[in-house]
Amino acid sequence: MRKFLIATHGAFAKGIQSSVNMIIGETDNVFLIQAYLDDHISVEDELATVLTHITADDELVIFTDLLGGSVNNIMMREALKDNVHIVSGFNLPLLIEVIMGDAGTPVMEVIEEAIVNAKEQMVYVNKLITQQND
Amino acid sequence: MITKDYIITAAEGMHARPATNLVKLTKNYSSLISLKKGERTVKLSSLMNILSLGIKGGETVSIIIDGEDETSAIIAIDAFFEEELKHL
Repeated sequence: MRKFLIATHGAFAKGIQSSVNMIIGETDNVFLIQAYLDDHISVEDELATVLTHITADDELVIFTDLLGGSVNNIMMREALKDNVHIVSGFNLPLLIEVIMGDAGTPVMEVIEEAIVNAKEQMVYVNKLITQQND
Repeated sequence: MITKDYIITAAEGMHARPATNLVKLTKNYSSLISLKKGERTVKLSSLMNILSLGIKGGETVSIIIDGEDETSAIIAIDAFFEEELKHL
């Protein structure tokens, strides 16, 4: 089964999950790590709890907010293996595309295509409108 | 292959939530289903594909369905464009 983990500095994970749910409806198998919100819980411990829900037959796609950030570094160090795929610098389009991706399509293909589509969504709209009016 | 044109009746056009419903609907069929606006044709398997067309209220789009279950798919897509989309 394909499962998802949104791991971010602070409450971004929870906030973007709210947006995803509003657009595509609530989705099962989405885990969250809101790093450093609680000083008493380490990111490593939060991740360990999530990983107890992942079997060898599962695929886990981890979305992190910043390449080079500590959250991404911890995911790389503690979680990365053959059935785990980490995507950094994610945005709402990427999240939607991957979560809605066809379960029958290989996850690597879903991720690659989603990244292309998600990048296209980042647009300087003023400039776009100017170009269209020219 | 079935091709059918639809006028977008929703004032807000094909925004994220209706587009999501359309993607979910097409997952029920094995046929290859595409959406065409102007010169651009995209697969309906991706929400971002649909949003990238920037479909506004009053515009005309074409649905292209090719596959074994295309007849049942067009019935569901008809219902989506002619009824459901108005309320989304």
